Amino acid sequence: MIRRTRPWRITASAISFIVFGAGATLITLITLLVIAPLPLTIERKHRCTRRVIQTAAWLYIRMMRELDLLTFDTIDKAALNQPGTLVMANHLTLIDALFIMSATPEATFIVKSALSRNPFTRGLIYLAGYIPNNEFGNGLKEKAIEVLRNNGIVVIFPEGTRARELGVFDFKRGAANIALETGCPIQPILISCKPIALRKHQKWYNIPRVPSHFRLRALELVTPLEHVDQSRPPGIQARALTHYLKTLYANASATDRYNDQSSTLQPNKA
Amino acid sequence: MKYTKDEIFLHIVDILQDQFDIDSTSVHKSARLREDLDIDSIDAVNLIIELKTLTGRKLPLESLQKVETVNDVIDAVHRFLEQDNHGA
Repeated sequence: MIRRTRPWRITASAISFIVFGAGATLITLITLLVIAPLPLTIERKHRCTRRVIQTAAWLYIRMMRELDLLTFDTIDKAALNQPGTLVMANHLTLIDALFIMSATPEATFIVKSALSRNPFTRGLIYLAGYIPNNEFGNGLKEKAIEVLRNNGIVVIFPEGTRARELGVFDFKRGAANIALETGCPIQPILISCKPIALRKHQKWYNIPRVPSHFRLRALELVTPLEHVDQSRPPGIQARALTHYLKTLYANASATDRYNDQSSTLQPNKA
Repeated sequence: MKYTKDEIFLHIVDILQDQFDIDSTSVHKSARLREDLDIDSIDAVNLIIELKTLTGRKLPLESLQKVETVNDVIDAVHRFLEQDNHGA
């Protein structure tokens, strides 16, 4: 592929942002005007809306690839679509979720509460049946558990926001609590982006010299109850499992750095 | 039952140690639950369940929604018990 110049790519990046905004508005309008009024059950509406979001995300990341803004490895769809599994991923860039969304037409995402208050995204999130993370107490946990008990797939970014520091995985304990209460397996996904772009506090035009390469690596499935002492109180179990997951990610990402060229998409021994 | 604020404090210290493995020496009345003690909202629900040994009935969840420090929890429990006494 011809490598385009940096000024060209900054322009392309601006276009991408505009397309994203316009696309999100368009999708919200379409779903609210077309899907919402249909005489379907709310479950069917969730499914249709998720399908629309998946298709849009699929197109969007390919558009960015065509614009020479990024490249990515084939996404391991099988790992992301195991029924009754809690999928977790680290959060580096603005567009991480799009890679997962593009490959998971069925999954229930746990999304930032700001998105469920934003008038542009609120309707879409409601129609998709996504779970906002704004509830105090057990609301979020219980909604996620219900999805998993019905053999659904829940996707969570346990850092809650994009990482401030690379290689540090500051997971909150929501994911561990959900997994421990259901006993469901966790599918950890290690997202890497080299060179890093679209980080928190990074200006959008501050794009790397070469297109970023994204990789979603499915780590080995985690059986939560194997990593805790079940005789201890739930708060301590959640801390233990979260600690285990942080270590798992830290180790996997450390080995990643040395194997920069290898594209391990198969579930890996961590 | 009547408890002094200090008794309530000691009880909270015990709960934090037993339920969340938080070293009792690091718990001060001015310690902030979220930032200093790493108590999240799911922990808060467990905390309310454990506080039942003091409060008899479950404290309403809202009573802990706005608390920031250990002292705020003590006040919330104290207020709850006072109301209970008046109500009875």
